[in-house]
Amino acid sequence: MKETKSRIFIVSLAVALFFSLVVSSTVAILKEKQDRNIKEDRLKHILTVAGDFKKMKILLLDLKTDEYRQIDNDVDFYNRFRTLSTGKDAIKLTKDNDLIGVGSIPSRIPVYLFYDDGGRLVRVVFFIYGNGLWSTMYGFIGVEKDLKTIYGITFYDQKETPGLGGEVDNPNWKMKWKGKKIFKDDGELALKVGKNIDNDIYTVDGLSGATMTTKGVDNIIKFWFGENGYGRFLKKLSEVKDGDL
Amino acid sequence: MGIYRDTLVGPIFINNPITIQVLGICSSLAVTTQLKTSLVMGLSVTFVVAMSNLIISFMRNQIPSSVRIIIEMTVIASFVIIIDQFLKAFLFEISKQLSVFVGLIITNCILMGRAEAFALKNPPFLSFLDGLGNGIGYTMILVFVGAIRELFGTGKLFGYEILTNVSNGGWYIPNGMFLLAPSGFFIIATIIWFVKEREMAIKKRGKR
Amino acid sequence: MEAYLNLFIKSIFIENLALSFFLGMCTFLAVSKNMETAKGLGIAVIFVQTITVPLNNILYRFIFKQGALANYGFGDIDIGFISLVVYIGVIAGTVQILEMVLDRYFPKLYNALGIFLPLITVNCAILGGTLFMAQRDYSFSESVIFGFGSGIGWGLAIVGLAGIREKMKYSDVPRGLEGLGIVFIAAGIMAVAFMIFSGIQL
Repeated sequence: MKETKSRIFIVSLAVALFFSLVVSSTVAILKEKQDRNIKEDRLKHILTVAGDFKKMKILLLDLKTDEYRQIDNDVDFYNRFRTLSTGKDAIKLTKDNDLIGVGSIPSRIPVYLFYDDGGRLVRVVFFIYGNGLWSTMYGFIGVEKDLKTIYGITFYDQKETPGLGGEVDNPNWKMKWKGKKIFKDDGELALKVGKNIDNDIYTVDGLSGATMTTKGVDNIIKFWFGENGYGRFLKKLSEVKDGDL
Repeated sequence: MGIYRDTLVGPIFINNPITIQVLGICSSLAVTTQLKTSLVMGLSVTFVVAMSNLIISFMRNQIPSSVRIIIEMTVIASFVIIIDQFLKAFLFEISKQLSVFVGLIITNCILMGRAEAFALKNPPFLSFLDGLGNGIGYTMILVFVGAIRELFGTGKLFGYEILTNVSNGGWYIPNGMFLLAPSGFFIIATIIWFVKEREMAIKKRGKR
Repeated sequence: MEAYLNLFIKSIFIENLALSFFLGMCTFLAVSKNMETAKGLGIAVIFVQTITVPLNNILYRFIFKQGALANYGFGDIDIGFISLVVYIGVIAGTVQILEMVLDRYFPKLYNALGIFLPLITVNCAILGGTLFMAQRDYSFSESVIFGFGSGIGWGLAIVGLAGIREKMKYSDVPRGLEGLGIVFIAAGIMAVAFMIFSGIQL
């Protein structure tokens, strides 16, 4: 076979074109299904910590101004999460308040409200995330209408050590959270996640053999329910009358 | 008929890619913490190596030698992207767990190894069988390691509890070591040990 | 500054590509027979990694990242799926150039590495480094640190294993474990040792 320059060029071009076509077609055909998978997976996780409800409302909370408005869907937020959390619009965290180790957070973040058939607020679900040992853990936490008691927690994306830190996804561990209280009656953030502490309503026993992942979860709670997270919004929410939201 | 059978079955036992040819080690360690991920990874690699062997063999007389490696890479990479897209569409949960390791199939030495050693010199159907055989041999080892690691590491297989864990009121205390990286090394070393001992025993029997 | 130091130490010890993620195993096991070649390969890997991760990072941030094409007016198009092929292309090109440079200016090293130099292209550690960079969305400077650090980590691991293997030449290895078997066990024990670093937070 002659190895002329033109032959090399033609064969390479043909192969490149053929496979670009095949791969691009596959991607184009499958893209819709993939996007749906991601959306459903996320919604599934949100619903596991929402309990029974009749209606769901999504708010977009502005962490800079404390204002919020209703939005139709959260797809855009998660699709552009990378840009929103590190771009020019993001809120930069200082070394002292960056408990979750991410450097910066999106300035606008979705909050999920759930109502019963009487139109009364039953639960609020918050999007939370932060660094564990090996990865950034993303999840949702559902809070009862008293805005203090936890209904449930779930981590839908984490790459911690399987069998150790990875057990944040174990239903048995997640069950421990139900009924625990984040805040004391005077509003002080009291919830602690740690080793061998399951003595009262403000403590959750950590994961054995996963000290760093457990600390990561503890930091996530302290950050997102503190001043730099949803803390101010929760205060506002508690003052609003049921029908107004 | 014989050559087809030999080509297909050979790489499963006698010439196993992982234990004998020492190819494709990387992924056999990282994804085998669970039986499910091991199986899906094995099947994905089988698909890619069979298909790329087939296509490369079809083209073997047309590929200029100087761009040989790059053409092979393009074919292999395309099939990897295709299988990655399929997983994201139809086995979403598992694809999340496999994460970058599906992309890393491109660098799995088995693919390049078989393309160079077999597909370039043999007709398409035979090359397809060779790819299939190597893929199955690879999958077998992965499934074996994955089963051991998941069973002893969590007491479960495919997520279903086989050994009742202490946390569920049973007797088995899961051995976390099996879920950690180094156990993969130790298990494969043990498999190689068995294979070698058997080989030596057979040789000895043959001499007598 | 501190964050960079943190990333550097993390990529060498705590998230060692060879011992924590098992990347680059084939060459890892084959080349660690001999200290000299192990050192040579380690250095070559450091070079390739330090060059390809930042290069691919530029491509990632300007072309493949979700939303990157929006900057040029192609709002909706997400071309990320083809990134795999392009990254491999960049890596293959870098290795080819490195080969030519070594052949011209460092012929001894070139001969010592032999077939393993082109094999760096398919070394999963190199592609793995790039894929981790994309997954973690590093900035350019972070990519340089990560590339350099992860290369050093891999090099350290292979030189360490080569040292152990040379010492083992005088040991009494069970027949069935001779060769590959005992190397796997040694690598496994090294991996356990490196896990010590996982609790460190700088």
